[in-house]
Amino acid sequence: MYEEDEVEPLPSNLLPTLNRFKWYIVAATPLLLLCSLVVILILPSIYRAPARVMVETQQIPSDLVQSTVTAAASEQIDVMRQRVMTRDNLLAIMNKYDYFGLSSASPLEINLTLEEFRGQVALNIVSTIKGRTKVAIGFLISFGSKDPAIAQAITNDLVSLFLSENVKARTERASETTEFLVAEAGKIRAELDQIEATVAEFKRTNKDNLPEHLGLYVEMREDTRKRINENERMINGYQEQIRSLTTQLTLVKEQNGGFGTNQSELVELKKQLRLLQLKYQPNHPDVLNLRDKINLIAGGGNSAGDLNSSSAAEIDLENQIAGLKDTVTILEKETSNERSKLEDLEQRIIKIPQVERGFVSIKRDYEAKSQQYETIVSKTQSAEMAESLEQERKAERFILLEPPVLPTTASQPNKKKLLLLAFGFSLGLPIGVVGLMGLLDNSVRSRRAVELIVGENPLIEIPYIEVPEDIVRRKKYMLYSSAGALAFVLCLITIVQVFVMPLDTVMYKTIEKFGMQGYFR
Amino acid sequence: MNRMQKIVSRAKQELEVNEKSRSGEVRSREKLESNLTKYEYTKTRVIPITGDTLKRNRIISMDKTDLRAVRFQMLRSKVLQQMRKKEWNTLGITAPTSGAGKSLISVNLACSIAMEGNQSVLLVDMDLRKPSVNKYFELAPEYGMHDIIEGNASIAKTLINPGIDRLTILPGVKGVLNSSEQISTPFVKELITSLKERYSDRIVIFDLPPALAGDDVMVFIPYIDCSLLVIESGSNKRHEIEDSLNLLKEKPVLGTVLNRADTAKDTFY
Ligand SMILES: Nc1ncnc2c1ncn2[C@@H]1O[C@H](COP(=O)(O)OP(=O)(O)OP(=O)(O)O)[C@@H](O)[C@H]1O
Ligand SMILES: [Mg+2]
Repeated sequence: MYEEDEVEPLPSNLLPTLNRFKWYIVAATPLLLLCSLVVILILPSIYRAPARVMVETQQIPSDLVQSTVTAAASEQIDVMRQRVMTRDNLLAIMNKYDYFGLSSASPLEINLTLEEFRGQVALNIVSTIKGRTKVAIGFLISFGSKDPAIAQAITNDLVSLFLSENVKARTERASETTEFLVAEAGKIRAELDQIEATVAEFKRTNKDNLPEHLGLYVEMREDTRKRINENERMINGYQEQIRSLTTQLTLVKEQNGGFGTNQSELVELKKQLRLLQLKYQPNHPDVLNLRDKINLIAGGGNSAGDLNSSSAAEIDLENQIAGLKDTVTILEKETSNERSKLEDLEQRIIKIPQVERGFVSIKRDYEAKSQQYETIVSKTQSAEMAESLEQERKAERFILLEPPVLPTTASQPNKKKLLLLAFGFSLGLPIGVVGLMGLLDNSVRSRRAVELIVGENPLIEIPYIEVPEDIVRRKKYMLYSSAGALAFVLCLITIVQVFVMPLDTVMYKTIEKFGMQGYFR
Repeated sequence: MNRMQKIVSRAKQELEVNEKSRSGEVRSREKLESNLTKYEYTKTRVIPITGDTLKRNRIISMDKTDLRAVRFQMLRSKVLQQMRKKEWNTLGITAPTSGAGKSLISVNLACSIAMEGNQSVLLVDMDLRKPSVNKYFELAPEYGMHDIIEGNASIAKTLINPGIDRLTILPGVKGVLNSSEQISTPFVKELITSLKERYSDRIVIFDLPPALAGDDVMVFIPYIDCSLLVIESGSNKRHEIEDSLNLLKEKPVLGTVLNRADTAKDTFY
């Protein structure tokens, strides 16, 4: 028996069995079909009044105004479904109708009714293929009820809930965006103000060392230097003069003591005058001064020279010297002032590069912030635009395309589907059973099988040898079984009549259920 | 119990039986002799059977107008051709299981052979447990095969001619429970051998019990020349057929007959 695995399997008995039982299948199918039809009839009719809601796309081109609600329509519908189908919303709808009898229901019953209600809401997204993606263009919503009027009314309620939820959600979202942007802009504005204050403060503390003053300072420094040089030269000139006047005073004092002094002093003065006349113009104060002095001395000599005249010259000289000294002192003071000024200027100029560096970094911060501020302001503007778009409902929105109408035929049980199912079941069950029998039958049924086992064909095949008695028996069998089938059908009809509904109602229901009203009007 | 074990136990039983019946052997032989001798001088009882009876019992091989008879004629030709060639004259017909149609085919084949014209047939109901040949001819015989074995009747008394030329039947009357003991007595062996020798011009057809239902067939097979295996379409499994063939292979198996075949109509020519 080890070779058993290598043995060729016998031919399948599936087809012979199906062939043998074909009449059973043919007989069983209509009976099963009848049963299924009765079951379909007994199933309660559910009416649906579908409403068609379309998603209308933005009317203003999206590159002009970008809608703030960019979720895909199908996603939007889903979100909307969640928002609409809340317990509160549904209970509110259900409470409007006595039909659901919520007023007298226990909490458990309410929950059960609610669940049932939810189950009867059907929402089908309608979509088209755009490019390579499926785009939702709308949806069908309906509520299933045994009462057609309720089906319609509730669908209506649901649709209006959907539409209002959509508007609310969209405007909410748009204004939320604007609000956010405005708040953000305010924050940035405050930061900007702070930076501006920092800049002012910086400018204030460093007002002497501002880089923009560099040129001015340099110019001022040059002027001051020039002025110092001039003063020094003048001081030198005056001191020279003081020295010569002092010498002259000494001479005058000697002359007053003995004669001849005037003469020699005069010579000396004339010599000086000549020198000065070479150096200065003839109307230079120094030249004029000296000439006056010479005239004075010469006149004094001519007039009867006495003590008074000589002492007057002396005083005059002393006054001159004192005046010059005052002038020098003033000049020196002025020069030292200028020097300190110069030092100050130099100090400022040295500090400027350092200040400049700090200033540049502050300025950079300021510029960055102000740019940010500008962009957010422009964004806010476009968001505000979008918001007004939503408010005026120019953007993508739900529109009720077809309101629910009172249904005249039941949508459920889905007659086509159920009929097809019943037919498939009625035909499939007997075929399945017989087929299974055939598959499980591993007995020998054919020449081929005998040949496989024995190694040669059977000598002969004997068919069923029928005798007249067999025919009589078969006729009897046929009679009994058709009588049985008839009895079964009658029983079924009686059961329906007695326990389910009267037969005339059955007829109307059947006509209605299978949508054949047209043929009977 | 597998087949080997069965054979061993069978052989042991046989020895015991031989031992026990050694003393009675002479008596049984005498009885047999007298039986056979008597037959030669006694005319076989004739009980004519009408064609309607035959038809009612699905024996259609005699009816020349029935197309189904052709199948049995073909079977007859194939069987006779082989048997004549080998000079065999005893044929056992069995099947793996009961109800396969052994008896029906035995009767039809026997009738068909008798119809051939120059061949006598003896149809012996060897199914001691459940004899049915008598039912096919609607006979109620007084004596049957088991009466011969038990020594209650002679062969001559038992044989019946159902009114068909060249056909003699040796029917059974009622079933016995100890069929395998009866069949394994040496007397049966003697009986069969004698039948074979005496009626060498006849074909002796034995309607046997099912091959796998007991060990009757296994014990009986050595006494005959060849066998036919009836297979019942739709109720015999592969292993049943294989086991039956194994059991029969001690003597040549002429072939198989597929009974109640649903495909038979299609292959009819
Ligand atoms: N080909 C056939 N066509 C019609 N009926 C048949 C056929 N073969 C057998 N039968 C019927 O089946 C039943 C059993 O047949 P039958 O007695 O010949 O079988 P069996 O193998 O001898 O059985 P058992 O083991 O009981 O001796 C009978 O009623 C017979 O008429
Ligand atoms: Mg039988």
